[in-house]
Amino acid sequence: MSAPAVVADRAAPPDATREQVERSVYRSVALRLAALTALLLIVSQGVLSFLLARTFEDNLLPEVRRRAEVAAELIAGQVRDGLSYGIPLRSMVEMDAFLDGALQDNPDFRYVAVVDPAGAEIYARGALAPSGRDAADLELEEPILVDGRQEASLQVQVQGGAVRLAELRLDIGTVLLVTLLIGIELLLALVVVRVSGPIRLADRLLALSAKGDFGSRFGVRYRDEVGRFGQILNGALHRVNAAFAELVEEAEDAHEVQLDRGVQKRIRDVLAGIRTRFRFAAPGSETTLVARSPMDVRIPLFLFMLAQEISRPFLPLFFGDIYTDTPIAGLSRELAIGLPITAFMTMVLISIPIAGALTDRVPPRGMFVAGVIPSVVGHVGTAYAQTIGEGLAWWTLSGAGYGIIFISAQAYVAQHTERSTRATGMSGFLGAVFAAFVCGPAIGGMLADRLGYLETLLVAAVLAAISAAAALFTIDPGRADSARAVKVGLRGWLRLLADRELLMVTAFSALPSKLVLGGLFFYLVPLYLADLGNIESNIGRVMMVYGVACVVATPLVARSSDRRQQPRLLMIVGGFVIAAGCALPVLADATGVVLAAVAVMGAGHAMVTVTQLAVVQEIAQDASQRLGLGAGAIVGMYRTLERVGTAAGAMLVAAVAAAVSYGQAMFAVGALVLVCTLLYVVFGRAPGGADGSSA
Amino acid sequence: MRALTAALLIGLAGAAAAQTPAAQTPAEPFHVFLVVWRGETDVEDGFRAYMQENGIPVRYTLRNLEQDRSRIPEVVAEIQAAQPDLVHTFGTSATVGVFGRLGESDPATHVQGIPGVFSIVAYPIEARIVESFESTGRPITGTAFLPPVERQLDALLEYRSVERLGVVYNSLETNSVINVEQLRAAAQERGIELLEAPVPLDDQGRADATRIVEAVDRLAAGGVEFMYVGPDSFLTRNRAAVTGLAVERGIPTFAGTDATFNGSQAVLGFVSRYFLVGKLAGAQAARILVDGERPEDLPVASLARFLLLIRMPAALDLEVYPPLSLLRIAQVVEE
Repeated sequence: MSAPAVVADRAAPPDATREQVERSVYRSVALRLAALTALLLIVSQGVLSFLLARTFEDNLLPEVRRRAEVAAELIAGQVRDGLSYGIPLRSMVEMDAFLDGALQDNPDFRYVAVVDPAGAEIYARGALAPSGRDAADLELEEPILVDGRQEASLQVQVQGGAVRLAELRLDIGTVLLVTLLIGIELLLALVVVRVSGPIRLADRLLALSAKGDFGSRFGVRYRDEVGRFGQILNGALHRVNAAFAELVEEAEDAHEVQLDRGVQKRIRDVLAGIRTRFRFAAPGSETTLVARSPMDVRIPLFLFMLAQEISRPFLPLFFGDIYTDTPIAGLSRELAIGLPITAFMTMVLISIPIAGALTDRVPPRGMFVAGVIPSVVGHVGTAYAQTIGEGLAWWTLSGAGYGIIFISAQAYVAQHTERSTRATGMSGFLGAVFAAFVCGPAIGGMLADRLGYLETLLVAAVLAAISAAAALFTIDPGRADSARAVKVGLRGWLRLLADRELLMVTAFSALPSKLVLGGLFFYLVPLYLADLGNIESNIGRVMMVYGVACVVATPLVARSSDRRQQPRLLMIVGGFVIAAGCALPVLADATGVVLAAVAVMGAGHAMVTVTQLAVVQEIAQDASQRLGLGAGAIVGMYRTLERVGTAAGAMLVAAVAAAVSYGQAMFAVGALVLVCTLLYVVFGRAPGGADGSSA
Repeated sequence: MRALTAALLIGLAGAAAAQTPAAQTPAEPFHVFLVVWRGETDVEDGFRAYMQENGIPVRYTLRNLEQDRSRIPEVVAEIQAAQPDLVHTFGTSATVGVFGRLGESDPATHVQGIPGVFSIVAYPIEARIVESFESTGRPITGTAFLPPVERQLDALLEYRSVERLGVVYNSLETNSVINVEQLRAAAQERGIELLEAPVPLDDQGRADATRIVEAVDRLAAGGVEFMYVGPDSFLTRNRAAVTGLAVERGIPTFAGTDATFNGSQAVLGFVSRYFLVGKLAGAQAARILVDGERPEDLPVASLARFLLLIRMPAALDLEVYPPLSLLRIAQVVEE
C-alpha cells in the first residue's frame, strides 16, 4: 500500500493549468464540431437551393402567368363595364389612379395600359421594359369587347421570375446563415452541457482521487458516452471505497485477535494514518457531484431571446395595421405606433428591479418559467389584438416576461460562477442574446412575409413556450440566491447623479446611443424600410446587418480598447460613427443607403457600448468610496438609466417622425447624437485621462 | 384571426337571434301600431320582413297621417284605446306628434306607457325626441338613417374632385338647417367652398316651389361643380323639378337620402336603403317585445353601411363620368 502515499504526496496540478486543459478540450471539440456542422449545412443547403431554383423555374412560372391572366381579365372587365354603361373610352376619368391601383394590387405587374383597337395607347402606367430583356418576362393582351365588338384592349407586362428568383436566393442565403448561427450556438451550448462540462467534472473527481479523496461520485445526467464514462469512474471509486471498508474490517479482526499491545497499537496507527491521508466514504454514501455550468441557461435563454427578436422587423408595421382612426389619448398615428414599443421597454425597466428583489426567494429556474408565461400570453394577445389599445396592453405584458427572464438568467449565471469566472459566464449569457439579436429579425422577416404578422407572433409565442421546456430540462431546480443585490435608495441616486463624470457619460453617451437603439432600430428602421417598398424579409435582413455589425465590431473594439487603455477616445469616436450612420439617408431615400446606415450604426453602437461599460466600471471603482455605494450598484444604476433611454427612444423618434419624413427624422437623431458627443468632448473627462480626478 | 373573431361574433349573434323567438314565442301575436306620414314605404316592409324572418308573430294596425298634423289627435286617441304592444312611427312629424317632445309629453295628447320605435328621423336630438343616441332618456328608441355628412362628402369627392359645391335647401326646416351647418363645417375641412341657396319664400312665409329656379340659378351663376340636396321634405317633394333645373344648367346633383334620389335626375346618391332601416327598426322592436328589454335602455341604432347610387343616364347627359373604381362598388341606376 505504498502507491497511494506517493500519489498523495504529489502536489495537485495548479488550477490555472487545469483550466487551460479544460478550455482547450472544450475549444477543440467545439470548434471541430462547429466546422463540421458548417460544412455539412453549406453543402446540403447549396444542393437544396440549386434544386429549389430549378423547381421554381419549372413550376412556378406557369403559375405566375396564370395569375397574371386572371388579374388582367378582372381589370379589363372593369374597363368593359365602363364602356358598356356608355362612358366614351377617351373620356374616362381617374384612369391613372385606377391603373396605379392595378399595379399596386399586382406587384408582379410592371406596366399596364389601355389601348384603342388600332393599338394606340390611351392610358398607361408603370415602366415598360424593352421586351425580351428577361426571358421570364410576360406580355399579355386582353381584348375588351362590348356587344361583340372590340372597343379597346388591356396590355400588361409582367416582370418574370428574375426578381423573384433573386429574392428567393437571398432568402436561401439568409436561411443558410441563420441556420449556421443557430446550429453553432446550440452546438456550443450542447458541447458544454454534455461534453466539456461532464469532462471537467470527471477531471475534478480524478484530481480529488489524486489527492486521496475518494468520497465523491460522478452525477450522471445523460446516458451517453460521457455518462457511461462517469459510471465506470463511479464503479472504480466504489471499488476503492469497498476495498477500504474491507481493509478496515480485516484490520479490526486482526486487532481483535492480536494479544501483543504493540502490534495492536501499530494496526491502529496504520488505520489512523490512512484515514488522515485519504478520505473514503461508506459504499453508497458518496457525495454526488453534478456538472453545472452557467452555460446550462444558454439554450433556453437563446430560444427565448429568439422569440423576442422575431417580431422586431414588423412590430411597428403590425401596430400601424391595427391602428384605427380612434387614437389613444389624442396621439398621432406615429406616436400611437411607438407607444407599445416604449411601453414594452418601460415594463422591462419596472420588472427588472422587482424580479431582482425576488431572486432571494425564487430559484432561477422557477423564475425563468414564470417569466415565459406573461411573454407567451402577451405575444398571443398582441397577435389577436384588434386595436392599438389592445396591442399596447398585451405587448406591455410581454415586456414583464422579458424583464423577469433577463434577471433569472443573470441570477443563474451569477449562482454558477465564482467572482473570477463571472466575466466568462456573463459573456456566454450575452452570446445567447447576441446570437438571437442576429438571427431573430431575419427569421421573423421571412416568416412574416410568408405567414403574416399574426401567425409569426404565434410562432414567437410557441418558441417562448419551448424555451420554458428547455429551461425545465437543462437548468437545475436550484435554490434561491440569498446574496441579494444592494439596494440603492433615493439618496444614493441623488449622490450618484451629482457625480459629474458619470452624469456626462450617461447623459451624453449612454442615453443618446440607447435612443438610437430604441428609437431608430426598434421603431423607425422597419417603418422606413417598409415605406421604401421593402417586403418583411428584406427588412429582417437589413436589421440582421445591425446585429452582425455589432457582433463583428465588439471583439475588435474590446481588444483595441484594452490595448490603448483609452476607452473614452473610442467611445467618442463611436458617437461620431453613429451620428455619421444616421446622416447617411440624407444622400438618398434608398434601401441601400439605409442598409449602409444600419451597418455603420451597428458598428458605432458596438464601439460605444463596449467602451462605455469600461468607462463606467472605472468610474464606479473610483467613485464607490467617495459615494459610499458599491461599484456593482453604480453599474446597476447606469444600466437603469440606459434602459430609460431605450424606452424613451420610440416615442421621441415617433414625435419627430410625425412632423418630418423618416429620413429626416433619422438625420435629426444623428444630429442629437453628434451634439451630445461634442458636449461630452467639451465637458467630459479628457479622452486619455486616467488621472482619477473629475475634470 | 380578426376574421375568426368576427365569424365568432356573427355566430353568437346568429345563435341568439335563432334562439330567443323560439324560446319566448307567445301564443297571442304581438300588436304593433305603424304610424306613417305619407303612406307606406319600404321601411314598413323592412319592419314586417324582419319579424317574419325571425318567426315573431305580429298583428299590425297601420295609420296614415297623409302629411296632415291635424290628424294626429285622432290616431293618438285610437292608440290609447287599443293599448298595442309597440308603436312604430315614420318621420320626425309623426314621431313628435305621437310621442311629444322630450319633457313636454302630455298623457292627454300623447302616447305614454307604450314602447315606441321611430325611423327616418334625421336629427332626433335636435328635434328633441331623444336626449342622445346612446341614451334616449325616455321609453322610446329608434333608428338613425342619415349617413354622416362627412362620409357623404367623401363619397362625392371619390366621384369627382369638387372645389365649389352648392346646396339648395328650405331654410324653414330644422332638418335642413342642421344639415347645412354640418355640411358647411365638413366642406371647410376639405377645402371646399360652399355656396348656400335657400329657396325663396312666398307671401305666406313658406318655401315657394315656383321660385326654386331662382335658387338653382344662383348656384349656376356661382359656378358650382355639384349641387347637394340633403334631408329636406320640401325638396324631396320637388326633387324632379330641382334636379331637372340643375341638369338644364349643366350641374350634377348629389342626393343625401333615398327619397330624394328616387324619381329625380340626381347623378349621385349616398343613402340608407329604407328597407334596411325598416329591418333595423324591426330588430329594435324585437328586443323590446321578445327579449323584454326596456326601450330607454336601447341606444338609437345606426346602419354601418350605406349605398352608393349612380344614375348613369344623367351622368352621360352631363358628361360627368364616374371613375371605374366607383362603378365597381356602386349600384348603377339606368333610369
